[in-house]
Amino acid sequence: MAVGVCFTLTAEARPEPSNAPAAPLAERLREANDSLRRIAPAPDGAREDADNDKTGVRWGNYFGNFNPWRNWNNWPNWHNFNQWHNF
Amino acid sequence: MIPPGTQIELLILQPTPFCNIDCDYCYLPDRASTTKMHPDVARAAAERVVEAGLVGPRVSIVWHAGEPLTMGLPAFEALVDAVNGAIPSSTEVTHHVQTNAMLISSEWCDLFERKSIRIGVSVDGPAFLHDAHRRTRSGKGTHERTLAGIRLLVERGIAFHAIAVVTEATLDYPDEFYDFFAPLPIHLLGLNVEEIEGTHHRSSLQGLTMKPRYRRFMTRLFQRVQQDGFKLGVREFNSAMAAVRFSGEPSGPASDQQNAPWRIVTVDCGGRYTTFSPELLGLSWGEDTFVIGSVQDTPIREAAESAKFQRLEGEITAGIRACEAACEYFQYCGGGAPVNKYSENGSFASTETMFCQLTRKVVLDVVAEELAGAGRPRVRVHAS
Repeated sequence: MAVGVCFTLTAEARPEPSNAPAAPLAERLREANDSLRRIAPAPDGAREDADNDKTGVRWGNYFGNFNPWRNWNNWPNWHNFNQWHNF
Repeated sequence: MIPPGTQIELLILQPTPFCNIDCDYCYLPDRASTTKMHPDVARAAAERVVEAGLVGPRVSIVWHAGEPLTMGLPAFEALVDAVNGAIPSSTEVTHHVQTNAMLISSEWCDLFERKSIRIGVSVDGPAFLHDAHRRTRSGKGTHERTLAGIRLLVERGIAFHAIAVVTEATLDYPDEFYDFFAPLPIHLLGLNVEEIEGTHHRSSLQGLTMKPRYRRFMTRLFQRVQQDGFKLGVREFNSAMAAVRFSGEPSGPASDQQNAPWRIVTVDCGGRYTTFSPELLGLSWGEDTFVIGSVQDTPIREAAESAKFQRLEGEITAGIRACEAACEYFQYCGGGAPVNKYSENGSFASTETMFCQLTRKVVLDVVAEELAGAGRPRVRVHAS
């Protein structure tokens, strides 16, 4: 009987994330950002368009109705009210 | 003093403390009081922010606290008209109402359309979650009547956002929670954790076991939102994804509406006002309160020079600086919400709260983890 190991790329559910991320936040955000740029590259001029368009830019299909170039520094949005200006 | 260039973003007017229901997590005091704001008070509030030079090209007027629709339609419309009459026509004024939707009728929809009022509906998800906390004074659930109001909005094509309070009971049902909101034509969903503030001294989300449970809930919710192509906008995920996109770029830290003065001004039905976190208006500060003036007789510039305001601002600033020194999330948070620091830690000059753990740290952790994983090839090992 032969026993071997093969590696397969899959889209299976990943294991549940740990509760205590080991890497510093900046590093984890950088990795997430790199990942996003691979799977959902911003079209040319997306950021400029967003600045000029009060209705917001629909960035491809990945983000649906969300434009990640808007909303920055807008965490608090007390009870959502200012979010209306971002769409 | 008022920092140069400061512009008000939210003028929050509390038209009545009265609420027609009695949610068990509500932080508002006096919600059995039927006192109503007079149009002269609403007008004076608008005049004060204009007089102080706080109003820029646009301002949001938020009718919130108590249930605004219990004012009755004519009285409420008189308040809206009073505010509009006091703000220069060069400013774009947007009115918002936060409501439990139970009193929405065709006539209210007419008013929402006539005045271009934007609606936020408080609804906690499916009935078994919503009715666990959002009950009438006689203990009956309110979900059915809230859905009736939502149906009217949908039939009339009136856009609305939703705010859901997340309690311990919600944490085991991320799929049910998502499946309730996903089909609704809501503009945005905001998740408000059950907070410790005001008259609500305990939260079901307190305790060591809650953070990992909350994280699992948010992870599953994000996966569902992501799988559906982000059709459902969730405030917390949108903000965290924006933080991811901007990570590594040179920029200052995030700012927080609640910890910079005069970006929010909150006025109660009698005209008393404060700034920073809106919830402060109903709280006591030792033997005192956080009221720093009255719209009838205290110009905002005068309030800004008062010893009371200076002390409040000083303590809040000390808390922001402490967060900056201690927390790697500061760049993406901006120093936290003063009312949560005060309510949980007893001091504005403090740092971490349950609120910031759940609404900032866990959210950023989850979104970073999930987005990083989305672009990472998965490796499966198996024996053959």
